[in-house]
Amino acid sequence: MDLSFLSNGVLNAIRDLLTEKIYEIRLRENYKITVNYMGTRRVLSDYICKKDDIDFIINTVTEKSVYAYNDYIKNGFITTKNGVRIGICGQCVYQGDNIITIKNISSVNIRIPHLISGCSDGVFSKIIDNNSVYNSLIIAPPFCGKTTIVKDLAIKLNKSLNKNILIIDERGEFSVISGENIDKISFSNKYFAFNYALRSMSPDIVLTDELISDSDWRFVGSAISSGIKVIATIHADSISNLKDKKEFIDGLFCRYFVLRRDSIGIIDKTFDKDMKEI
Amino acid sequence: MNVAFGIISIIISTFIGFRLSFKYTEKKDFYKYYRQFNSNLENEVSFLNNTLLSIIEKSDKDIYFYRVLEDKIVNDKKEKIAFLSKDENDYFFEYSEKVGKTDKAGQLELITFTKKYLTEKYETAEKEEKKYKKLYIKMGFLIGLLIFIVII
Repeated sequence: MDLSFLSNGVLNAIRDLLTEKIYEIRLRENYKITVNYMGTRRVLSDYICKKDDIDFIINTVTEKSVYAYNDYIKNGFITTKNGVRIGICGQCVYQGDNIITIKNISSVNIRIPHLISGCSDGVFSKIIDNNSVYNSLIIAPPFCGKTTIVKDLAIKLNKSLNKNILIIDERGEFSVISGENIDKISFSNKYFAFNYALRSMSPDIVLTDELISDSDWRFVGSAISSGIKVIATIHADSISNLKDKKEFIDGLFCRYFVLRRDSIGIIDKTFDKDMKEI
Repeated sequence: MNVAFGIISIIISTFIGFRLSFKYTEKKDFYKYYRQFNSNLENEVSFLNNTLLSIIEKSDKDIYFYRVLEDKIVNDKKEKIAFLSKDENDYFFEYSEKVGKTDKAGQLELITFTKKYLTEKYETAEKEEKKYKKLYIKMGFLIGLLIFIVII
């Protein structure tokens, strides 16, 4: 993984760690660097992060052009060309009710994506339905490997089914995924992706990350009622927690996969359409 | 023989005069391309959203201004430009520090402010070039002529 967008100070601080085992790097101005290394949080003791380190990252990732990335910045993250998502915190600047930018960025959370080949095996075997897939929802709190599973699933579906797959990649995290059956719409919101891309690309299967709002659920419902199969993810820690969400629509999905909290990409429980454990 | 030396001295001193006036042409060209870049940037920031690095990468590096801009923005070099005054150097340095660093509104504000400054600077540089170029060439020629007369 190319981490050349980090300043020399930060690169030196993480030099003893194996890059492929770093899941997350958190930089907070005037504090020590913390990393999630193989699922364990570690504080690196030998370096205090400076404002210059954070500015260097922002400058490098935005190619010295904050204005060109402002639409992402105001949503709280930037994604590098190789799919590293950088969450940012700072002072929000408002115009009326809308955030127009975030300035004086004081901390960043660098999430390093991983392709774990085979991590979706458990899900894959349970979603195949003849020559198609069940509408499926992967449920887990942040940082349990939902996106990693969906990435691996995309590669598997591409190889095993002769179907058109559309990936709705709102945050550019699927940039490394490609295949002869895969179309990808990147940095688009779900409104555009579901209203326009579905019509123009006529996919058989849609993969999308993180259903958040009422409208996300409605878009998915509309796609499913049109005969498109949808595999999506959602932030929740259990099936009951999912049912309690006000935006939840019962009966849309045929398979629900709840991931384990203590590991990355491992299925804890699987539920059918009626939410009975299988 | 003396006549030949005299003619050579006229040619050389006229050429020296021309060379000395060159800094005015360089300065005028610098502000011409600076102004052009600033206007293009307004378009890029407002509509096209291309990054500063990609704009610089596509620019014509045979033009001195773009080479200097690349040195300042991409390579973080802080060398002064010989034909600019201290204030002009400081202004360009400050511009290269600020460009790209803020959101659309901030960049458009910087571009608009710089536009006025650059128009003034370009017009002054153009006038100076017209005035001093002729003056230096004439002076060079006259000094050469003087040498010619002395030799003869």
